[in-house]
Amino acid sequence: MVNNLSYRQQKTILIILFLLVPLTLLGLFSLYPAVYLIYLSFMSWDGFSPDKTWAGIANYKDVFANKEIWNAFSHNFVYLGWGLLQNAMGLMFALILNSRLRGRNVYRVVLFMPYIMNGVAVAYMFNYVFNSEYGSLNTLLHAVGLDSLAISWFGSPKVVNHALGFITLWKFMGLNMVIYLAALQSVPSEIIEAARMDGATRFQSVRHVILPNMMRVIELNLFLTIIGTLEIFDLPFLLTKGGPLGASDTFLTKTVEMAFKFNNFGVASAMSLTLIAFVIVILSVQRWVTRRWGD
Amino acid sequence: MNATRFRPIGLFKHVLLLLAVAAIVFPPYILVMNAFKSKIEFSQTSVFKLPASFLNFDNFVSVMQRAHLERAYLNTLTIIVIAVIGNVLLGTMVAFILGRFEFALKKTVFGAYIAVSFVPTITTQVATFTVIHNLHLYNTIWASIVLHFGTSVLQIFIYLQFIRNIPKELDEAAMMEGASLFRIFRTIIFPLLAPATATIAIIKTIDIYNDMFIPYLYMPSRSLTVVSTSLMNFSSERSTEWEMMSAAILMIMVPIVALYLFFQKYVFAGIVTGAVK
Amino acid sequence: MKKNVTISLALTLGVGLLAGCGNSNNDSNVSPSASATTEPGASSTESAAASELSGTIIWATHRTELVDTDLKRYVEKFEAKYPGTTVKIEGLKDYEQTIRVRMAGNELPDVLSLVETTKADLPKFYEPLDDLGLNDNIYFKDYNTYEGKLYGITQQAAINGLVYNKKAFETAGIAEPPKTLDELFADAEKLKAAGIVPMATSFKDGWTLQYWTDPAEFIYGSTNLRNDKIKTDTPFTVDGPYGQGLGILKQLYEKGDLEKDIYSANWDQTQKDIASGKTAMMYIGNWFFSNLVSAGLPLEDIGFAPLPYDNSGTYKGMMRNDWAYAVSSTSKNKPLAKAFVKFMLEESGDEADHMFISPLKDKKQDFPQLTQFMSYNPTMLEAQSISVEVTAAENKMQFDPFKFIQEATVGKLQDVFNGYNKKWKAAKEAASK
Repeated sequence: MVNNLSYRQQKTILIILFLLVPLTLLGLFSLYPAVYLIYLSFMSWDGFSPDKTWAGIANYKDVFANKEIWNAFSHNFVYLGWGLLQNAMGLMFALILNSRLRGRNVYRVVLFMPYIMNGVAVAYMFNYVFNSEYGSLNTLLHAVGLDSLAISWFGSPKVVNHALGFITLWKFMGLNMVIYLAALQSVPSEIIEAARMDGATRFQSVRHVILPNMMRVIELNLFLTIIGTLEIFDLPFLLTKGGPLGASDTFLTKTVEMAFKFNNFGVASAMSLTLIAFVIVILSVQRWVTRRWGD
Repeated sequence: MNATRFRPIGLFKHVLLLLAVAAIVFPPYILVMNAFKSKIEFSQTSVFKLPASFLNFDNFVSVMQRAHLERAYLNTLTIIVIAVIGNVLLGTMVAFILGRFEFALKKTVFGAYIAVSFVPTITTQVATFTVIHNLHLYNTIWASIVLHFGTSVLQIFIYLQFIRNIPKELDEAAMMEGASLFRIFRTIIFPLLAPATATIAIIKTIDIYNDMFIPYLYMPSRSLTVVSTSLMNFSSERSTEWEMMSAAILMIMVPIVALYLFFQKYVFAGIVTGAVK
Repeated sequence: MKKNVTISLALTLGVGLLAGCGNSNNDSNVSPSASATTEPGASSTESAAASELSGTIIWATHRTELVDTDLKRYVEKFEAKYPGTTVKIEGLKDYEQTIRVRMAGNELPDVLSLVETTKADLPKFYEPLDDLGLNDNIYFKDYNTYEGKLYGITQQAAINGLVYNKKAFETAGIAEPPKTLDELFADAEKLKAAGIVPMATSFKDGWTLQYWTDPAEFIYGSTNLRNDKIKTDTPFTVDGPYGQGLGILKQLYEKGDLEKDIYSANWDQTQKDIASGKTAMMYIGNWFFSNLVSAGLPLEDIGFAPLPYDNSGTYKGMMRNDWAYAVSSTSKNKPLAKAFVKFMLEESGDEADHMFISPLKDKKQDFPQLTQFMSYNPTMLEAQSISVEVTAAENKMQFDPFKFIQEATVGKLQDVFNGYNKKWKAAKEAASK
């Protein structure tokens, strides 16, 4: 029956049919809550009682006047730095494990293992890695004679975010790697073989053939990394509770605190939207950079 | 490409990989040590110390009993199977439309998926909760299923990467033979996306498996326990039984690792190259 | 809601140490109306219980680790007593956040641990519990009372004191717990000399520090300290109660009497260290005993004494409430929900199983540590709820009490207080508008 329709008609029907369910779900569970967030950001509300009152832009003023929030936001950029390194490592290991190598299946599993682990387990383990007295890391450093490096990882305001940033790298590098490995399967092997025939070295074929072909997925991974690090929450929440003395607070730990500890959903919503605005700005910069690099 | 021949570059790769492996197994070491310790042994020895016996499986046995793991596995499996099927179907459909057709609202649709991925979900839970409540899905397994069912920007991007590399000539050839667009999607595009589908299934399965947030908020009933929340049988605000928790964490990792090994075959099956040739 | 400064607790200890606790109840505990309703209320619940109770209720609890063990046992006992009834347990992690979202979505369970709202909002979410007939017999009655009605009953009461490992004290040659502040510091020196960490804080986790504001309230002489902030623009002063009270923890820190690296000191490790005697003491609630026992420290090795807050040799003790039982106003089976709350308080055996103090005043509490504590004749103070105005101002200034204590401990006290006073003044003015 379908065959009797013209491809033009088929196309219209298919677009509608194929998008109907996905867009309904998107609207109900993602778009509507997002629009509601915008609404709440102009209201004064404690988060549970039935009455909300109009607050105008007062919530946004509060956000921009609050130095602690912006100080916390600066910590997110430490995570971003680690995130970029994590991405590069993910790509590197994907390229290595896509080549013929003895034991590559074992490596693929082990490198992906941290992503499989439950977040609670990760927090627990790293509490004991970075503990300054009993911790396995400092024990190791003392054993190899690097005593001066055996510092209080969670106790020093300058180091704590790097320790946490390292944990995100540890946990999410495998995810980046698996996405890159999948994308490498999409690069038609003819193109690579053709390049090799033309005398391209291994490095050249990666640089000029494989990477440009994977630009979309590299962007995807950068995109995920930027959102993930600028909106990081669980890790500092579980591991340091923002300590010592707020040195590892992030924008989102502050937001959740504002909503559920200080019962100020209006300001918390305004914070979320401010954060989204910054994410968009930084993503635009990233897009501009990757496009230039890609050309 | 003889792996047995000595090549410096290959050695270098192994050194890098082994360093990464060392960094990865270093933290979980304590899980393995403590899963085999009794309560008293755990509280009186260092967490780094070897257990008295690696044959002490008591913790594993009582995890099974206390956490009702069989029920948790059944619920989790139900959610994962239905939600992953949904993700794969909807993800391929959306990516097919976006990757193959030009139409007026294309940029808007794509943009909507990107835009919602900016929103930190933890801040929108009040609105999402109201939606679930009004759909009468609260405290049913469907709450988790519908929230995981829809596709995401990650999935659309991965599928698009593959669709872009599937030559349009394949579609055109099929059209010449009179195949409908739906048939092209079902018999040509969908099978060629297998490596992406396998990858997406792995990632989504892990996300659902480890998610605690949705089960606690939307399906708190005991009969709806899932694997991640069953871990909290060993923890409260004021105390955590880490020897039990360690055993539980190791136990719940086993099926996921097995699943990864299973899906991995499909990721690297090389279907794309085979078909294009 | 004004309350007298100090409430002397009549802890009905099995061994009869009432002498230790000054005079009896004050006005607020026995209001004429409450006592009038008690008897008939109680009997009507009892008779209703026997005949009419049936159906199903949901009970949400924050005690996730016990849902499949002890709590399940209590529920089974309840269901056996009232055939035809079912209680479904929900154990929730991140309890408060989850319940708040459910509040907004109008989806509260029948019985729950009360999540604090402003007092005026209590009737919107919770059902009055006055007809349980327990009003005259519970601690912290005023804590969740609004306009004369009771909306929550604390699930347990706790006395805060110095919990110490007797073996560790013996090793360091300390025979008795310290009677004065100077003795506390001297004992700490002895412990350090014996290679034992004197005082645990679990500093990194923050919440374990909350008890250290008790000395400030001892010095102030009342638990009104936090609420009385509203009367001043500069509540935090170095020579005032906050400076003096928090100064004790601060001095311990400066003398090196706390954990070696306080920023790594976490709760899991603290429990192990006190149980093993590597660390000697901690200032915390008596509920901590059961943690220590399950970490392998025999009950008879646990000592419990009031914390000396000055050199006078007299003691004060603090009694604090915990999460409260509440019945939601939207419950479809309120009689059963109420009967269950009453059962949990009166008959479950929860307090004996977990070594805490029952909120019911007439329950016998006979573990030796409480006897020891009361033998020092401390004047007992009872924690109070935070007033509406103070809550509003504290939320406005985003006051995090744990972080406040952390900062006061490690920072320069004057600077820390100046910062908080400034924020307090601004928040108080903004909130009163």
